[in-house]
Amino acid sequence: MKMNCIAVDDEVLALKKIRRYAEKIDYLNLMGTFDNALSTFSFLRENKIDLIFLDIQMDEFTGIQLLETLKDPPYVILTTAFDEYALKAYELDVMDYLLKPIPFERFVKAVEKVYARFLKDSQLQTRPQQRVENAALQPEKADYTFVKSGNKTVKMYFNKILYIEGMRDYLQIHTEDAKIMTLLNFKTIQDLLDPQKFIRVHKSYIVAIDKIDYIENNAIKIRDKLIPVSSSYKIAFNSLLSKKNITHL
Amino acid sequence: MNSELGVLRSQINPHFLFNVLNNIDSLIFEDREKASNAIFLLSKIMRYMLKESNEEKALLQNELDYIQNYLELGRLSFENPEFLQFEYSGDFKNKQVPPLLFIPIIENTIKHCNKQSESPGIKISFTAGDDKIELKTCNYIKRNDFKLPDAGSGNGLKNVEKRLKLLYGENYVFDINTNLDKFEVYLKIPVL
Repeated sequence: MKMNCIAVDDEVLALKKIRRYAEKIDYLNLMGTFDNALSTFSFLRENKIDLIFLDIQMDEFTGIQLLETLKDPPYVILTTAFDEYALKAYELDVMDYLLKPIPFERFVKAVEKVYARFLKDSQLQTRPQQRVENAALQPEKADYTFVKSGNKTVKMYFNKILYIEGMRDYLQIHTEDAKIMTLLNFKTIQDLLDPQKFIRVHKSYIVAIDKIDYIENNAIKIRDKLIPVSSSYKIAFNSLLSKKNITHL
Repeated sequence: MNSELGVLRSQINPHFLFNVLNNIDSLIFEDREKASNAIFLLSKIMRYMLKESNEEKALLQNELDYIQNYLELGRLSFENPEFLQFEYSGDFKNKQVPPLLFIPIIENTIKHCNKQSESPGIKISFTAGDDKIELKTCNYIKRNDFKLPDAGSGNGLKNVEKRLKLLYGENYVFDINTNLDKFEVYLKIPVL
């Protein structure tokens, strides 16, 4: 599933750079780049886009003014050379705020965050502008999601997940009654999961904390599976355990 | 008075510096020779600023070179290099001026110009006469800059005016004119 995006910046060189970056990410479909507000508006009237890279300081209109006039706003990643607008960015509910010059890794991080949200919202059949209303209607997160597995789309209750194992390009989700193979990455699945209930413990594993039977020698036992806790995730894991009043020696 | 003058002297504008750095970052992939040249120009103007900002007087010819380097970097922001028109005439040799006096006015035109306007969107003329030096700038402004044209950076042009007063008393002309979407500045100082 591709995400349609545009970039708006009054510096032509900045647009070239975003184009260069966007072309490296296969799920991004950069539909156009615009160096002024007018052409951006007319494009947005005709086209449905999911994500906009927007410079805050532009001729004629500031990016912020542009955002405020859109009644069906896409996800927004602000780009700017100045950090003085960060606070305003929070008010506008933007997905991320990139300070120029933008390193590629940072760009990827921002885009992945939006993509995870995009996938989730399209599963829930919501558009970005409905996020707020939905949040009001459903203060609790849905307790299940649908995941694609082969040619089926399978309902999966979060509270049935035991652990998730990464294998090359797909994930194997072990639940209480099934194993679901799906073409997701860890980042995407992690954004769907409640961070209080699930934690990454290894490059290849996320575990459901509630399902842990015991922990021994840097390994977690869930049912008959022994899952390693790698050193890079150990600190986060331990601190979560201590929050749950578990003393881990 | 000297310390006051020191504070009022132009310092490198962070907006300009960051824009140049970002443009260089893009140029590295687009056009390496251009990127390299931009770094060369940037180091030249920085060296000049570091050296001259502590001096009382600078050679007008050096000041002209500095302005030209500065404008060449500024042009990276415009797709059409002709968008910024710079003309100079007269004799720039053997004259002295207070260093970095003109640059805030020039910087202002780049910062607040409306890039969507017809070309040239910025016109600058710099004239060195026998007894006077004149700088004239004209640019189209962005429509959302309702406030003072230097509202963004705050005190650019105000500081120029203060400095002129301290340096020349009443013996200078500094006119700022806004005419619809056109912004014009005229500066005339005596050759001392």
